[in-house]
Amino acid sequence: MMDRCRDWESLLTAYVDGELSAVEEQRVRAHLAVCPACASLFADLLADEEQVAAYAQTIEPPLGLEARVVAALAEEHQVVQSRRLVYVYLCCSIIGLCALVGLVVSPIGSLVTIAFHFASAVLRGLVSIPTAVHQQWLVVAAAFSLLLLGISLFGTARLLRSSRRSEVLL
Amino acid sequence: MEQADLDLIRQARRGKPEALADIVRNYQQFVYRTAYGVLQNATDAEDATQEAFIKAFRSLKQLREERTFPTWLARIAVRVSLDMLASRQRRAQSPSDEVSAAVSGAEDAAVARIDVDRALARLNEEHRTVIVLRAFHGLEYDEIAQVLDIPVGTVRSRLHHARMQLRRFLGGERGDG
Repeated sequence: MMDRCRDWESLLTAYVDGELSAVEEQRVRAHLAVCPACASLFADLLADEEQVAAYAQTIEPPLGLEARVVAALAEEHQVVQSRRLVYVYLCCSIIGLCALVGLVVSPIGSLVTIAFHFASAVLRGLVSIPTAVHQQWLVVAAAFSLLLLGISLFGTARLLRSSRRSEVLL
Repeated sequence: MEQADLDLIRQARRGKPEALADIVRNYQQFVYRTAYGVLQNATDAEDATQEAFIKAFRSLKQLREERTFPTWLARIAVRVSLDMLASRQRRAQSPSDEVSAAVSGAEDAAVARIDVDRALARLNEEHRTVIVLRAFHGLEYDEIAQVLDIPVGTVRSRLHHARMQLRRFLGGERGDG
């Protein structure tokens, strides 16, 4: 009898969940009607199921959890976005480099070379401007100094001459 | 599953951040209960909930059918929780004393709650997980099979053994075993 009840046990748990076929359900119902031990076990299993379900209803997430999860998701989103930006930058760099190499290697590469030489000459010219301007200013500064010296000497000479005249008069 | 939730999932897949926040609001209880049921620890369950949502949204585009979102989310929550449990066991940490910290309710139900807490904690993780999916969320056998990636027959036998063990533990606590 006990062995037979053990055989029924596995069906009883599926019966609790309503996961038996119509035929199996009928067999279980018929057995429960004649077996007090299995009927008692079935009642206990139902009670356990209700107790666990009631217990589950009492589990509530803490108040700050939603905000914490949303903040973590925002942070994750930012990390993903910045990673994507790095990938985009790398891809653009690689594509740009490939395009440049392609241009130089291709027949219109000579035009690019001429343009490059022109651009480098312009750049060199631009670089030499500060030096040239600097030297010119030296010349201007020297000429200005000589002019000032000349004016000073001329003024001193006139002053001396006039003072000599006044001495003669006295 | 409600149409509003389906719309939210579609919007989230298009990368709308407000939709993500709404999904978290609607499903945080579902994920937290799953995690808490498996882990039996409030702090770990919080961490698992956060990780489950991050993993879910990271792979949201891989979700084939929006209607299966709850099952898919449960699957992620269970996996994250089981991984966390394995890592906790590796650190040889005993189940936390704060087992009832997340549980609320009237005082007259406290004894019954503690009984279930203890009984669930005594089940092994496989049995606890099927009980959580079935009794907490009412998932069908085929849904549990999808979540755990096991055959329906295994779900049936695992639930049977889990229930019989739970019966023994709860019967012992109640004194009717």
